Amino acid sequence: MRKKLKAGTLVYVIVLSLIIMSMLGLIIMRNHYLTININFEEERESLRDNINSAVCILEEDSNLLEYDKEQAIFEGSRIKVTVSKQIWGMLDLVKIKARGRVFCDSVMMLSTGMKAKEDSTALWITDKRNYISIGGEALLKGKCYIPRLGVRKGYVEKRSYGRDKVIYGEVKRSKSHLPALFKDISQRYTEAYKYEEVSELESLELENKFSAKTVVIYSSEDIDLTGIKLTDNIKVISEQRILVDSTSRLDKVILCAPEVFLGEGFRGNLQAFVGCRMTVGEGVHMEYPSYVFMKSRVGNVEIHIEEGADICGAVILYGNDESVLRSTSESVIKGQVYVKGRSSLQGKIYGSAYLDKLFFNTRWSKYEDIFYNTEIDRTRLENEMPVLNLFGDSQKQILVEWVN
Amino acid sequence: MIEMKIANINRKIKAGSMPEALVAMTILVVVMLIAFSVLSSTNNYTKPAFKLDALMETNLIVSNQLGDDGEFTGESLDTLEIGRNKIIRDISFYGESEKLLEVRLTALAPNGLVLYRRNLIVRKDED
Repeated sequence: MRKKLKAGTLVYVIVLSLIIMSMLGLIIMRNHYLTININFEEERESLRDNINSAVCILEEDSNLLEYDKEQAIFEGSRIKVTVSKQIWGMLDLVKIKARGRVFCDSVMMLSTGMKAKEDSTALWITDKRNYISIGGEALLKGKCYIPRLGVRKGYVEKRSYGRDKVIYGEVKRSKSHLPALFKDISQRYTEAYKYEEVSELESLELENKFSAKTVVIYSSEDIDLTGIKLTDNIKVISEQRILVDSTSRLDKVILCAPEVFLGEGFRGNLQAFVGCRMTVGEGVHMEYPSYVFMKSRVGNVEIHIEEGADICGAVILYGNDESVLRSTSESVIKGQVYVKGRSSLQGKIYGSAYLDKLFFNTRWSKYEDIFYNTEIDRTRLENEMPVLNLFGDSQKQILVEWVN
Repeated sequence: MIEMKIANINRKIKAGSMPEALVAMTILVVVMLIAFSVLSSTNNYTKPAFKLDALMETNLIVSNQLGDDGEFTGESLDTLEIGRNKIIRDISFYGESEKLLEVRLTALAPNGLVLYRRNLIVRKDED
């Protein structure tokens, strides 16, 4: 016998069903959003993997990734990567952008052409059909390219050379001229002086990210950066002189002027493109990556590195027979030195030196073709340190540092 | 008040329709449960906990287990069992380069479902 239910029960059934359906719906929604969040996280991670992979590819062979072209690194991948590059002084500013279905991510890095391990040269001294003398506490350590007549122990300033060997490392013959600078390197000097519009320096502190347009501070007169803090994407260009002292704070900044003076005790990171005179004062510490590039075909030009100063990066002097690089005792250049001109080196070079002509003057005497108290030690440069691709031997983009 | 309303409904609805309504509601709930279980078994609704495990495990493999490929000369395919998941590691040279390795990691759930794929390029001598 069929028992009849009251019609009012239907209301309870409907309410109960709605509660059950809502609970199921909530569970499905929760799972759905959790999965979406994880998928987003997965995509973000894939973007990061693609960017890291792009860095890896660029560090191996930058030709494998084409610039300003959207391309997938992995076959069938939905993530597209683009690479673009612009010049920032002696370095390249490389922007890598990865675009996924939902997100995109990008990084910027300052890069250079190769790692130190790819250039094992300690010394290249042009063969002018002469021999090179070595005196005092001088030390040549690493692979040395020397003139055919070789290196001989000398007696200088009433002191004879005190070491057993004149060269501690492999010896090779040099040629009658310096290896030619890679065209790309020499063009960077001209590029550094280029600008579109000029900004006024309105405060004592200025920071400009690399993602923004370069800020150019220009003057036809001297520019005094005493007490001023400049960070990142900023160029300072003067038609006369740029003066920097220990109260200046410069980070990744480019300085362009006929004369640049870094006063005693300055610490910072900069690239100087100089016309005729550069002074690196006593105790100045130019942090890595810092570069000094002087280019002049005329007149008497000089880079002077004073006692206790150190430069971590490179010093390039591209001049003539009257151009001079002078480093005094206790100064250190860690990285590369390239001098098309004359060099009087009494400090230390930890890295590679490409030199044309040597001299050493005292109050009473003038010496030619001599290393006196000069220390050139290639073994004290870390193999993994990114260095400039001076001679165009490499097709790489080696990460120097990440920037914003 | 409520009783009056129910009495009103009782008058409007025939009492005989109640069992049919109950059956209909039960079917609706059952359909929703089936839909939920079907959705849960598809890739998009994979249990998140497994997926998170897999993410962490592939990270672990990338950071810790690529250093021993100094002798790598061609292709390599191996399976690593970590916790509840399996990770298939497939390594080959990237394109024409002999210095770059393409590493493809695929994380599988215990039921064989693909949880996560991860591709990356590393240098051969990287440790």
